[in-house]
Amino acid sequence: MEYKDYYSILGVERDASADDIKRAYRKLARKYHPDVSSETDAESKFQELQEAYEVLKDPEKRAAYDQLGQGYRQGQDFRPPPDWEQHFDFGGGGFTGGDAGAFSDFFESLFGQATGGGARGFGGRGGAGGFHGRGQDHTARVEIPLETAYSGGQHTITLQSPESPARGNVQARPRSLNVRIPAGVTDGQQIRLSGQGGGGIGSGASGDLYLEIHLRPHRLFRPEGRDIHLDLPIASWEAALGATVKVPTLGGEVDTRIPAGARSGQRLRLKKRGLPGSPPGDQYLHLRIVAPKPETDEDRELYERMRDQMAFDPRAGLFGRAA
Amino acid sequence: MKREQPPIEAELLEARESVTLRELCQACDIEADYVIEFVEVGVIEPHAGLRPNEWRFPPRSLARLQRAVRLHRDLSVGPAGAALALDLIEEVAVLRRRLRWLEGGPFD
Repeated sequence: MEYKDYYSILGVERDASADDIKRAYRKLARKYHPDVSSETDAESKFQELQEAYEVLKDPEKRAAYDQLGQGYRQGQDFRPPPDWEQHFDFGGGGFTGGDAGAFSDFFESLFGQATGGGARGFGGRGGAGGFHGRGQDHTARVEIPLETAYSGGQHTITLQSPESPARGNVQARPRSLNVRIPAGVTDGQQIRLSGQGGGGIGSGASGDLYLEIHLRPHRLFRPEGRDIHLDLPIASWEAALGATVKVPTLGGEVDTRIPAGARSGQRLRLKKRGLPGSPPGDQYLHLRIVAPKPETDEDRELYERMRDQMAFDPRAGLFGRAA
Repeated sequence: MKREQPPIEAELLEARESVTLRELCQACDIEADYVIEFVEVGVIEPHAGLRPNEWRFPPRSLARLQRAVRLHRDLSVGPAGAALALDLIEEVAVLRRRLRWLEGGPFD
């Protein structure tokens, strides 16, 4: 198993004070918190930070970690001595924050699994006790293709579900769920899977699982709520003379009339061609006029004729002259 | 041969008119008093009901409250700070999306 250098993860020296460690953690936690950060690996980075802080903020854990880790570097192969745990008593310390079920093997081999607190998900009350109670609700984020949001359909997700068996030890176990996504879900909305959260205590019912939906960036379409935006390239003569062109929509190709005299940047609306719902969204076409590169002498002559014949100054507006 | 499980049906929260205080407490795993604190500083706002036990919230409140609870738990942000942070986070998300469109247009 790989040795984890918790000091370098928090960016502090090995002799850092408790205050220095707290400050460093707070600063990095703000940077990598998944709700705040735009970094792609924010979630794993944040978990690593929480794990490092969990150890270094606790004098006992820190002392044990320092003693065992002497001479090791980040990523180096690590084996704890077989009897090491007898020297330290972590009982009662428990875990104070975060999703302890997601800590690394390295952490678990040193400090065992989280005790108490129950499967946290995003919660704080814990749950174990000698009574019957409803299981905790869990929350996760999932990314789905825009096409699935449009037509609905099955989507398989894998969750690291913390589970708390009888003695309260939390274990993370990957769990695959085949979910039917309802048509018309938009970015940031939540769907609820009844009974798919944490297990109930005694005869208590299971909690629910809330999935926060995020739409994977699409090659062509940009969703905004239920509306869909598309940049539509058109030739300069299509803009000038008008044309009927084929346009992709999430529901398939449609013929669309470009009005004569269309301008670049102009928006056309295709009613009810966005994501379904009540009311359904629209699709907006953002016109972009494209001028072809002349390939032949004839092409060049055509451009020359336009230049000579059309009194057009595209930069008139820059100098306060009439166009 | 392994038989494929039928898909799990999901309910789109937004399709509902509202969520209750009890549902918010359960989904965020917090007590009602704590939710009321977040209501008082405007993290979420009920759109119906005068007293807490009658309150009904727009479905989107749930994701917002969960985020506020995480900010509180992980970053020690108080309710008023969470309200401000959430407004800014949402604004930044919109701006980042627009920036991505502007910088990475599909026909560039």
